[in-house]
Order: sequence, then structure tokens, then C-alpha cells
Amino acid sequence: MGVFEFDTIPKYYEDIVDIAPIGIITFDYLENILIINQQMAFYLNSSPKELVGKNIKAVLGYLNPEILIIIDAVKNKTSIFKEFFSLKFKDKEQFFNIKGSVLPEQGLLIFENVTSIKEYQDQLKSLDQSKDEFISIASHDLRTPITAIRGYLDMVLKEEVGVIATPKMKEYLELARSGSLRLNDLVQDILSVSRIEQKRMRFNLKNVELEPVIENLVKQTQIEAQQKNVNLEFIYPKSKLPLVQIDQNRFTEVLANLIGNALKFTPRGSVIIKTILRNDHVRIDCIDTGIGIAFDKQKQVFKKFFQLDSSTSSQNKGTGLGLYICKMITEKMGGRIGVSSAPQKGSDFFFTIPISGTPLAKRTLEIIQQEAQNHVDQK
Amino acid sequence: MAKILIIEDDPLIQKMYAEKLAREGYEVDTASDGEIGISKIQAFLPDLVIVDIMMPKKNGIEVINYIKTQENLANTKIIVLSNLSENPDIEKAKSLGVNEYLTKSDIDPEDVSETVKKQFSN
Repeated sequence: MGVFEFDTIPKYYEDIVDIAPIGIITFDYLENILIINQQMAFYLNSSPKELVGKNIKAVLGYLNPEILIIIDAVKNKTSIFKEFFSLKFKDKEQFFNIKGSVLPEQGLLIFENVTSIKEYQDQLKSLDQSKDEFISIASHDLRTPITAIRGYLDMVLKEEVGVIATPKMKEYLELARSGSLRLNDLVQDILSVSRIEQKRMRFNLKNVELEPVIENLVKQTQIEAQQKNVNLEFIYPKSKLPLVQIDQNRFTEVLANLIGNALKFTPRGSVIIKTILRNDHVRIDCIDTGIGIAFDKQKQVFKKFFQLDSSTSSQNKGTGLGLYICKMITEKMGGRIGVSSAPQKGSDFFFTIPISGTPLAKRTLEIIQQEAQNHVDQK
Repeated sequence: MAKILIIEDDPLIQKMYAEKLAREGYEVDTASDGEIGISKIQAFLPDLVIVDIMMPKKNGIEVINYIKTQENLANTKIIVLSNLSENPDIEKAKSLGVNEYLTKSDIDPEDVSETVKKQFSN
């Protein structure tokens, strides 16, 4: 026997069982109900007095035949827990977390009503679904007309179909085109964010030699830097870096974004890319001699929709999502991103990526593979 | 001059690329879904097909599949022009062996014309 002899259990323990806002039933091995509290009797639209002594399977079985399995499990001295178990009462279906435990000489079933949680969950799911639908409308139905607007303006501006009559016309057409480019970027970025947040962005992690990847990107961005009269340079590491584990396209997206920002906010001077080898990761720095960022703004730059409002003209205003996307991508690849900056002197944006084969790299790979698997399972 | 068939369901996009390429001197024909596209391929016998992926009736993958299974179209070049940069269909298109893959939102008409030019200079 337990600590309490039956007679010594204070009377108010029964009251506690009765008042508890969960359903409680105990039964013996002949399946007769021994104790049933008010709440449980209430669920069954009856009273404890009427139900004590009745066969538990007869009392509960019609609500969902599968409950017989739970009762038998407890009879066989196995504890059991079922989540969101459906019970079909006369008026409506309700959902319960059911816990079955083994007590001396009797089985215990506890019923926690989670119908409202289930309803909230279902509501959330359907809201999430309508959000997904909206995003997919954005993807197809918004992008196609934007592509057309950009394309036709481009052809008119190149005077492929006739001369633009006045400089003012040309100016307005150029403004329209730059607006359409911004809209295009915004839609693209919103789609990227939704893909990452819904864990639908796929990462193809490979062991990659880093130096040529950076070198190629810097080469491609060189024209843009020259147009702005900014010196863009990749300082090649003195000794060869170990292989790193990255998705090459995503990595390039992050670094291109950082270089793009650096060029945008650097009226003169230089943008330098360099790498630092650390214990289990490589750090990539993008250092500019631009306008810099006030200290109190530095933490905010990676937040969604953050914009440096200052003197940025509306023409080269970004979407406010670029650095947020960089942060999400970097973290997915097992790295971190940060900035140190001094106003009017320049900024150093840096991010890290795991070295192939390190525990950090392996852990990252596992998480990515798990997410990809979950995505397949959902389909 | 080389013959190009553009299979694209959005009329604005279709006209944009068709007129661009026609100005460059190509002989251009258009189709607004995959089914019309396939029927036009045999009649027009284009040197190059520009094909969208998501289309009514028959989609771009079916069109590519068709071209790849016709002996008389063995030399027909294919440029896929899609809106979706992340769809499994893209992988499928690539595995079927297309010559180029362009994402609409990343390109201008000029890029399409450059890509076409490259196909014929090789």
C-alpha cells in the first residue's frame, strides 16, 4: 500500500478531485468504475453517483471505440498518453489529451479538454494557408505584370521603337523604370523572406573552395564599382583556406548584398573584402570607407524592413529586407552576421561560415537535411 | 534568318519578346499555350523555341518532352523562360536538357535577345 491508508485520506482530497477542471476516472480490473469526478460526469452528461460501479467500457466506448485500447493498455499495466483524442458527444465532437496511469489495484484515466486549443490550431493553420496562397498570388500574378512594365519601358528608353521627343519625357520614363525595378526587388525579397520563414528555401550544402567564389563575384561587381569610382578589392588570403560548407548560390547572394550595400553607401574610397580563418569557421569581412552607421542603429540593420532613412534618395532606396535575408541565410548555413561601424568613417559588415567536417558543419547539415525531409513529408 | 517560336501564355510578355526578336530580324511565331505550341512546332519547324513552364492545357515540361522525343526536332534549341526560380519543375526542365534557363523577373528583353544570339553563334 502507499503512504496513505484509505481511511486516513482526508475528506477534502475527494473534494479536490471533484473540483479539478479535468475529468478523472479510476476503475478496477473487472472494468468497474471506482471513482469518477464531477467534471468527468459533466462531460458524460450524468452524475458521479449514477456512474460509479458501471462498466467503464460501456460508459466510454460509444464516444470513440479506440478508447477501449487505452483502457486495455492500462489494465495491462501500461501507462499511456494520447493527444487530441476525439470524443464524439451527442451534441458535438470534443478533443482531449488522455493520460492513462496504473495505480495499485486500479487504473486511472485523466481527461484534459483541449478542444479550444485544437480550434485555435485549426484557425492558425487556415490563416497560414491563406497567407501562403497570398504569397503565391504575389509570386505569379504580381511578377508577370512587373516584368512586362520593366521590359516595355526598357525598349522605349533604348529608343528601339522611335525617338523620345523631349528630355523631360526621357526623365519621366527613367523614373518609371527605376520605380518598376524597385517594385521587382521588393516582390522578390518578400518571396525570399516567405520562403525562408516557411522553411521552404532549399540549401544545397557542399564542400567548397571559397577563394574563387569570392574572386568571381568581385570580378562581376567590378563594373558597378568603377562606375561609382570606388576601389573594390578582394585581399586574397596568404595561405590557402580549408574547404567551407556552403550553398554557393546563397553564399554569393549574401556577399553580393553586402558589397551592393557597401557600394551604395560609399561615395568615395574603397570596399575591401577579406577573410579571416578561425577555429571552426571562416569570417568574411566587407569593409567600406562610406558614410557609416550611427551606433544606436547598428543593431537594427538586420531587422525586417529596416531602412537607413537619412539622405538616401527614393531612387536607390532598398526594400529593407536585404540584410534581414542575409542574416537568415547566414544562420541557416550555420554562421553569424554582424557589423561594426563608425559614422563618416565606414562600416565593416562580416559573416561567418563553417569549415567543412567540423562539428559545427555536421550539425548544420543535419538541421538542413531534417528541414528538407519535413518539407517532403508535408507534401 | 533563324525561326523562333515563343510559347508563353501571358499576352504582354509574349508580345514583348516576339516584337523584340522580330526587330532583330528573326522570323517569329507565337503560341499562347503548350497545346497550340506543340501543333505549331511541327508546322513552323523553328530553330529555337522559347517556352514558359506554367501554362494552361499543356505545360512547358510537356512541350520540352515532346521536342526531345521527335527525331526531326533533334537540332531544335530550347530556352526556358520561367517565373519560378524555386520550382521542382526547373530541375525537371534542366534534366531534360534545355540550352538555357532564364528567370523572367531577373531579365530584360535585351537579355533574351543576347541569349538567343549566343545560341546561334555557337
